[in-house]
Amino acid sequence: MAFPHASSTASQAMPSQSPPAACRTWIERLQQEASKNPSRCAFTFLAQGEDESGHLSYGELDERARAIAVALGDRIRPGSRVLLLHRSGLEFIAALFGCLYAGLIAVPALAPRARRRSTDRLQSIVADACPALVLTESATLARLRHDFEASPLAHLDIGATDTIDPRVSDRWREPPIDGDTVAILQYTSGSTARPRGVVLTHRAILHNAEATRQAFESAGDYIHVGWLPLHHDMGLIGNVLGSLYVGGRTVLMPPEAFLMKPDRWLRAMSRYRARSSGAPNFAYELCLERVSAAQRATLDLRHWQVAFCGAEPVRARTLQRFAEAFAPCGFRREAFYPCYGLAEATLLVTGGRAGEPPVIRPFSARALQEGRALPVTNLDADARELVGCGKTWNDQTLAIVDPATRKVCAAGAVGEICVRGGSVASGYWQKADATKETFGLMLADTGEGPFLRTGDLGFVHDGALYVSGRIKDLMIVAGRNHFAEDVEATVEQAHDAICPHGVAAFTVDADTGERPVVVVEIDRRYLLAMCGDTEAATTARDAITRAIRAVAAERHDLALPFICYVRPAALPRTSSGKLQRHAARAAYLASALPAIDEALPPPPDRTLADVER
Amino acid sequence: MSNAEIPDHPDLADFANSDGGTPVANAAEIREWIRAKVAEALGVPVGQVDARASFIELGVDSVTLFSMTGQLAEWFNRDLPATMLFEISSINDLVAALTPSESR
Repeated sequence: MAFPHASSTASQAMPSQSPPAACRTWIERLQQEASKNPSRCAFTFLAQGEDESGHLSYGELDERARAIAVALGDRIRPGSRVLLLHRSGLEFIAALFGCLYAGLIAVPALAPRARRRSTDRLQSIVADACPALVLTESATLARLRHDFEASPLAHLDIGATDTIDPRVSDRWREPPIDGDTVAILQYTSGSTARPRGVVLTHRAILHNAEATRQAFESAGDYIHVGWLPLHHDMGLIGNVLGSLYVGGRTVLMPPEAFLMKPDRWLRAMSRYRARSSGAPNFAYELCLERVSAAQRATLDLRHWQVAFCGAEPVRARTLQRFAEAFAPCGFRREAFYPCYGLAEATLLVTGGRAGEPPVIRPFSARALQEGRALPVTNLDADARELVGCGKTWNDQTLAIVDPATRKVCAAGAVGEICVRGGSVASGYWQKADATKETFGLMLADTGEGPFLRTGDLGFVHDGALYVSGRIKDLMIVAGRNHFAEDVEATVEQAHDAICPHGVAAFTVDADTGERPVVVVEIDRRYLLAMCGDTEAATTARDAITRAIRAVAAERHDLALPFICYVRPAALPRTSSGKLQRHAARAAYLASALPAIDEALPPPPDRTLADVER
Repeated sequence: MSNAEIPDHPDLADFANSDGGTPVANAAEIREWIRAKVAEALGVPVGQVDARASFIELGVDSVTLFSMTGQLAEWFNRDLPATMLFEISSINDLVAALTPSESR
């Protein structure tokens, strides 16, 4: 295709890639930038994903943050938690910095999207974090007050930040905080039943922003584009703070603008000649599915140098297909930046070198199951292509650990990915036991530690981390985390016919992502009615299926295509009666569960793979 | 998986281009397209998608709902509120809201 400026090259003038001046807090970091270059645009917002609806310069952000901090300081004590329920937008960023400027702990969360949507998740965050105040923008204030009125959230004190008089900013005094002050509680990894707020200090977030700067080779004269939800670690740390740390400019749009019309993301990349942007794997798939040939013809993606992909397993096939489909727009395969990270490590843990092509290697699936990384050359049925996720940055250490012995695995062995370094969070908010278990691993052989146990399985090959599985009972669907026990508890209550504690929820791999599956034990009283090929049996099964799907969508925003009904006590359990999810998953994949229906689709790994090939 | 991008769907392309840009909305066609999308998202036969139910009752997640809203907006060439499909109480109600009254 012809580009508007066909003679210009994709490479931009090499900016200075040194770290910003030393700083202990995000107040210092923003004020350094604001005093150096107050009128420099920090954030541009595209409310509908297309036209510019607002800008925030470094100077304005500093002033707004000071004003909000003064207003907050008049009402609540430093160290209090403040729940941020803003829509994705500039006001959220001002409020976040307002909290930090007041020495308060920001707790970003998602407000219910529409009336009648469940507030379960919000309630569990509120119960855990005990916020002194809830902040939002005035346009949302009335709806939230109304939504919360008849709920357990009725006691919350809600205020708007956009109506705070900016002139009070003169009254701001820097609070006595330092790098160890808690800045943010991140609930990305929390479950409804056991909410876990990841405690992030100023120091940890600054450390991770510096790791990201080194990994992405980013600098202040670059433009970054993002649409991920701002309460999510990748949206908040990656898009907002990562870019602000280097003094860059970020163009944001709300997630729904992208989800409605995925070409808006790529058009923003094209229009702003942005250097970096990224998302979980599913978003690249969505572009492949929804961006038409006509839309592709108008895109110029030559400036996209860091297309990061993380937060859910990175699929080789997705990268290959995307690179091929968008090559005519100037997208370069080496722009792909597969990375690995999690909220417990602030965000980024590993990534490759910017500008180098992604490393995709086939390994023996059988050997991986046995815990060994065995590279293969033939792409036969046993080959599983994995995407290398690079190395650690900014002096962090990775260890592949045998969870049983707590010793470092031999080279080439699969073990739990464990991380040590300045980006690792302080722990879970007021959860001493869970913190010790997850953040306190001391290696049994060397005594080294403490390490963060990620709950992910992987190995290191040729200096790169490969993520090959998961120990924790986490389901990642479309980039979002769902805890198996939460989904199970919900499904169990969907219908009388379901045995108490008789549900196993897990995901299975398909080519393009994880597919959630629930296996449901049916109570004896209902068993007879549901068995067989009769119309009555089908009707009975359909009623239960509908009930399960409705409640999973309402409470977890999770679609459940794959529901498998089994006899009572058919799920594998320990001698003490505890459900064994991993064994249940293995039995499901081996079609070894005594299913009582044949009407529902076979395991998704087979169906999807078959259909797509 | 059926990959029903609106621009490639012959019936929908006809619909969008018909009559000098004045859409001739066919309620049945719209309803069937929505039911097919829901069926695809849930991995069920179209016959199992009850048009009297809301999207949440049917078990559809927000990523799919936003995506459908965007495709409907492209098809009808008009802006639709992002949360429209979250608020609407049934597929039938959505079809009614999208269909000009004279062609219902």
